[in-house]
Amino acid sequence: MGRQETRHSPQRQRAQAEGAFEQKQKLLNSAEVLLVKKDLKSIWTRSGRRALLVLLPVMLVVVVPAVYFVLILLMPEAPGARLPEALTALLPEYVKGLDYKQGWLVAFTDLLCPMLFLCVPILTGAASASYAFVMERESGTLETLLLTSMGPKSVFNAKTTSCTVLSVLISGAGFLAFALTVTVADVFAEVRLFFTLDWLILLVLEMPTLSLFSVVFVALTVTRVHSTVESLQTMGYLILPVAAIYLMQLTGIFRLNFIALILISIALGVLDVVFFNAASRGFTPEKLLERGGGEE
Amino acid sequence: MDAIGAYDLTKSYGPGAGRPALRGVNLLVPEGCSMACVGPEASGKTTLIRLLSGLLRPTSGECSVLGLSPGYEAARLHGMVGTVLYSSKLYGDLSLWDNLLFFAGVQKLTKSDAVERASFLLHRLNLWDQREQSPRQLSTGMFKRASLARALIHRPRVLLFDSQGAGMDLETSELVRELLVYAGRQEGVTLLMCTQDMGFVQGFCQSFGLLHEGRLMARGDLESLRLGSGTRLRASLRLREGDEAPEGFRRQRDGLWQKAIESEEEMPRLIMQVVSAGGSLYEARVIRPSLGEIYQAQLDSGRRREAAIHGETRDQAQPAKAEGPG
Repeated sequence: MGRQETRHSPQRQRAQAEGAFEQKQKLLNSAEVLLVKKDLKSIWTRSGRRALLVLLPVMLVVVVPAVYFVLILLMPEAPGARLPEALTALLPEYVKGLDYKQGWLVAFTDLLCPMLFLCVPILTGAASASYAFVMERESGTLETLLLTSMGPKSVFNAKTTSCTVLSVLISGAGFLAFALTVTVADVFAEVRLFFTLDWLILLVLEMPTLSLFSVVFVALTVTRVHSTVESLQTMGYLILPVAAIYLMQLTGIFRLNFIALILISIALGVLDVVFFNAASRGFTPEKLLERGGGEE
Repeated sequence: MDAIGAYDLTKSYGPGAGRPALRGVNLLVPEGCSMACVGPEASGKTTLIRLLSGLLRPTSGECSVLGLSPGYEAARLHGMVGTVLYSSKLYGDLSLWDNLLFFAGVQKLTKSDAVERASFLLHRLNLWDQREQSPRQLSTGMFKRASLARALIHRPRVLLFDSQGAGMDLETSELVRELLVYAGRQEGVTLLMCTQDMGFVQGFCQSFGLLHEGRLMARGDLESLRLGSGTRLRASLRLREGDEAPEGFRRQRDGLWQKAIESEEEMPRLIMQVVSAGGSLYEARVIRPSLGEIYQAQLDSGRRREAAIHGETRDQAQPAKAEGPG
């Protein structure tokens, strides 16, 4: 066999083109679907991982709001007490007609609960990506996957898909639990139901883009972190900007309205594409395994 | 047709990593043949397998497996190549059986084909009773066999086998050898095995490469390597107690008489000598040097050459030094 034959023969180029065509026919090929299923099962069947992925969202979108609502309902109310005007200005017009407890309930639901809810896709996305990428690299199974006919790009696509799907599903379930909790509180407090167009944007646009962003962010750092624990710590970097944006509303400088949320979602979508491509390019065996040793 | 080729293959792990892990390695393995690259730790064996499997890119030089460039066409390559590396593990949260079916599925085997192949391999490797166990529960030897089963699940045309670490236990060694021979003969698998265990590969590989500190000192079949290293055959005679062997023979601790010979053509003459002198000859045979002995001889002759070169350099340098101050 001549050395010149090792690359770019017409048969090979045709085979590659056929492979690429087949790939484009479906979003995921059979091997990727198999890996997605294996990853979802692997993350979900381990009790430690499941506990983290379930308990944290439950804490954030059920326990914290429920405790807050109970405290508001039990809070002693001074006669004629009103919500601070600066806070009322940030809330919808109808809040002016509500009493003190009702006002606090709406303020919490509208201003802080979105932040708590958005922590769920960040936490679940980053945690599942840490398990799927970093833990697999640590345990040596990522190397085995890279020795199959899937190829690094295919492995990356499958893992990103499984983590994002899991994060979106948990966040969706978390939202249902949250909606139930808040609806009960709204009924008890006799205020208008919480679900608005802002929440729809959060649920349909911002939550999925944030899930994908968290996953690709962890995937981007997979060659830089040393362990799964270190990778899980990246959740902090992701939560910080979200918390900052929502808490800054309380200063009165700006209000996250419907348009701002759409713009943030678009920006996140663009960042998703950029980070996805960067992470996919960096997902090469040499970079992934360079810390692995075995340099005999 | 050559299934595996390496041309001046060199790999350095970063600029501050000292000497390259692999230096200018050239080798060819024809399709259907088996080659073993042997050497101690840090001789470049794992690096060679990683380069050929596309997990690493060479610093310089190039390599090809089945006409594909491993670094650029890894996905297509792995459809036709199976790789066993000590560092590539199986999923601990899946049973051995599920692991094999999963990797068969990833390699695009049909369910029935995967079940048939996995059953065959587990039976051949005596792992059938362990099929429901997690790979974490397997002994080291069993794990090595399980990794081999994983690498052969898709009926590869080439097997790259890095047997890192200490030698295999007796059962594993025998089962692995049998399966590798079967794969070579019945399935036409080309084998490149890298190992420290020279005794293991000596029996069934057709050619060998001797690696030392990243360099391929020599390659070829056992006979050409023996000739190249200057290692000689030995004639071994077992005589009646009290009988004297012909001139040049030395008595060994086990009572046998041995002498280095140039070729086995000398044997009939030596036997004739003993018999014509009235000696009672119970056994006569030619002892061929083992791969380990050839490796050591090759290493020693390399060191001698190096010492000679350095000696000459020193001899040339000394007068120059002496001339300087004067």
